[in-house]
Amino acid sequence: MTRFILRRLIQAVLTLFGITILTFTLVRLAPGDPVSLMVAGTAEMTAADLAAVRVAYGVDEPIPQQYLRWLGRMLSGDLGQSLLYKRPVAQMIGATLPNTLQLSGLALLVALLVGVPLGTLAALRRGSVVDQAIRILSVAGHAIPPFWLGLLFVLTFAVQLRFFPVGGMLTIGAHDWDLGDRLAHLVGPVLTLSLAGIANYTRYLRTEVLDVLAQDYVRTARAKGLHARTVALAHVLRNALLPVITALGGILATLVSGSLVVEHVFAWPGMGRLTFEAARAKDYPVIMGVVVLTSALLLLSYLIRDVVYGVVDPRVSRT
Amino acid sequence: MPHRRTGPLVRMVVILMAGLLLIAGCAPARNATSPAPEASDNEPVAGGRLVVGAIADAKVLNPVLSSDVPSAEVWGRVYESLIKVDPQTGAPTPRLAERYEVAPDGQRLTFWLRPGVTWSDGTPFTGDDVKATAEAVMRSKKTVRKSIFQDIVGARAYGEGKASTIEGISVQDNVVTIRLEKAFCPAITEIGLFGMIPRHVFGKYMDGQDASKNIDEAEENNAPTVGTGPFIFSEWRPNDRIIMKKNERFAFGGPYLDEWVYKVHPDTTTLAAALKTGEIDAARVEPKDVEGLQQSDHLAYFSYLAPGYTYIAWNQLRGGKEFFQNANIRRALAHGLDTQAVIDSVLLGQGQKVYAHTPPVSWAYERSALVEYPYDPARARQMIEAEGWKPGADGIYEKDGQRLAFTMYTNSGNKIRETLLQVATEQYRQIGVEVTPRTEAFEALNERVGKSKDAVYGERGGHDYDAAILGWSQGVDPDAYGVWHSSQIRSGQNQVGYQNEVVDRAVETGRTSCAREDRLAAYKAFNTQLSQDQPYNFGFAVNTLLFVNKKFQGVAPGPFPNVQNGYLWNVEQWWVKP
Repeated sequence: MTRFILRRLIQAVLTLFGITILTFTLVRLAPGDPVSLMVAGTAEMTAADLAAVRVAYGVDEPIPQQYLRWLGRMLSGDLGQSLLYKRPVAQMIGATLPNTLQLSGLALLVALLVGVPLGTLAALRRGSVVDQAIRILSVAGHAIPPFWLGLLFVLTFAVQLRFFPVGGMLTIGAHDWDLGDRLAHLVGPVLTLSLAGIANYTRYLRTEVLDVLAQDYVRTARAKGLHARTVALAHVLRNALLPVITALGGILATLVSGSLVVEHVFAWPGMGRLTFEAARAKDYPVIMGVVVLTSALLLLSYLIRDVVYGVVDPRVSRT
Repeated sequence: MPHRRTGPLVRMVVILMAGLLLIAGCAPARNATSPAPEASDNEPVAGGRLVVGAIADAKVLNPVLSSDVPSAEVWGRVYESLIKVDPQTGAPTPRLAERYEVAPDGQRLTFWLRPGVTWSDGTPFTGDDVKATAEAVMRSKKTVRKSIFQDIVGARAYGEGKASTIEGISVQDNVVTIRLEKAFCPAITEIGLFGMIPRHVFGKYMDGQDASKNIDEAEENNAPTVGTGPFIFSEWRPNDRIIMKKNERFAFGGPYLDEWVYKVHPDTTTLAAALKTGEIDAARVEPKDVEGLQQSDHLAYFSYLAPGYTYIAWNQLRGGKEFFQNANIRRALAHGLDTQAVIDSVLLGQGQKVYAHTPPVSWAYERSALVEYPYDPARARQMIEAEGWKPGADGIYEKDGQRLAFTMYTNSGNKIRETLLQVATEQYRQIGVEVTPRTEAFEALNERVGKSKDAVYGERGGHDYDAAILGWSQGVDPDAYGVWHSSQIRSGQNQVGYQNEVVDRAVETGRTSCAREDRLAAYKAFNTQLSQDQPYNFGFAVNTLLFVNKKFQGVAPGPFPNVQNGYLWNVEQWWVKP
């Protein structure tokens, strides 16, 4: 077991290296460098000054050298300084991550709380009107673009009806722990963000439950004369949920990476916007910081999943 | 150099709230008691909060290191400058300097500092702070602002560590004298409008003897501790809000507001929605949102021309496209495009045709001196045929086996430019000119237009494009050397390879003969020549579209100094009507 974990750990670290090399190179190969974007449209600079600024930002060297320098710093725990904001990347991520976690955590919770019962219901009432209605909802959830839904929400509930604020996390002047205010700001983005998740989990659950329903032990349970609800909850749902939990494997990364579209529409200061802006400005220390964080979490969640598999099913560790 | 001329075409629409006042006056409760005298209604009262909305967050709150508009909008409230400008004319007005003077030879600037100005912690503002600001810029490794101070005598030497102070800046009591190595008329506004930072805060990061020390990593860059401006920094939640509080030691009257908040709404549609619901009090918006917002009774609407323009560049140093060197072909292209149609369709009329480089709102603009090119496709065809071109089988003009065809680039995602590209492609097709439209990312286009060399002309040649839709945003000074002087073709911004002696001489004079009438004459000649030669299709200028909650009094926006500090230039005078 220890050898298995160790081997997976080494693989994960190597993959992480691969990801950072690839991202670093791609970011730097795209046209435009951060300094010329910074000076575009500002006062004329002499070629010598421009070159000096490139040196100061460390973007003058060949890409492999830049990468090694970045790697050295990263390994010693320093993610570097944002070129755009001139402040430590770790500090920027530290200030942004909690905002994203609030939003994506709540959205995941809503998606599961709504999606799992709906999916189960659809399977149990297979072919009924309820099933059809849930299917329509699920297809709509996949098909509606979140930015459109978000704007619709803003224009209807914030502008027309004034039920919720247009955007942001907190009314200006309100206290950080004013939960009512915080929740009012969360409703729109959480609903928009969770819709796709609801659609996903509903369909997933429906398939899994139908699968389990066909199993012998379900028939046995029914034959024993157990109450239909007991069969559904204790025998069917529990078994159907196991693969769903597996599917949550990559969820750690999704939770921290944020959603650009929803954050953009609802003015939510999260990781999606941070990453997008950094990508546009070629602010590569920030891009790299986010990439390292999310890929490390992704690899970690895969590792945990594999280990759990290994515990459950001894065959896995031998393959 | 006092500039005192209102731009003739400043368009300003102010929706007055007279109607509302009348209604309030008729309320029965007011009739029962003796009505308050009219004047007291217009007496500013203290208190209130202004929430300014914007689509992007500030980056760094230090004028030395910032290069973006949002940052300037915020640090502009913290750090005052030596002078300000009249928002309608761009003419300098006093600020930290109560008086200023440019020597006739243009090589010496003198600022008499206003007595009694202190930083928000009580430390007096002195000439040493002016010096500290210039030193901070020259020693910074990350600044992109060196061009503003580098011509001061000894500034370069100081920056390189060959001197322990900048020789050309001398301070005696409240008089700061700045000597320049060469005459440079725009220096008065460039140095004069630069935010002054405190020696007693940033001095600890610098060392006259040690050029490796600089303010680049100072924590005060993101959290200014003291300022001379109306507000002092309080809190910054990145990508969300910046909160500033009233500076009780502000020296220029006011501020009346207790709090000033910069709130980020990255999406233009929800920014407009937040204006409507009152979550934000003031913001610049896009043309598409104007109509909806005008229906809100609580918002005042302002529309005024911004200094700058969107243009089509014709690359004269492009191998295989030598027809761009022919001024008559370029003039024909001017007649062949209905710019007004683009203004009406995309800008919904909120813009103006432009005929030369100097902005119509500038004191140096003179419309009578310009050649105009009305939309006239028939005339455009005649002019092309007069140059010996004949329509080919597909209707596109040909001459000596060459087709009148080229590729036109613009950056993707800019709706105004993309529409212009589309209209130009269609309309030029109608006059027998074939345009292949191309869009690419701003970064890529920037590189293509700014750096690459042409395959045919090589080193002698220009940049890697045929034609491109681009834009300039302009400042207070009409200086145009960097864009139009022939010395700027390869390394500067003259990316069309335009070369003309009259223009060269005019932009040189504009930098070195600082008397107002000399500069006026020079820029008149310059613009006339440009409008004749049409090195660009000069396109159009767009309006700044601003909405402010009507409860704020004292709002007085104008085109200058430019988008930076724009309508917030006098925010210390704003107050809330109870």
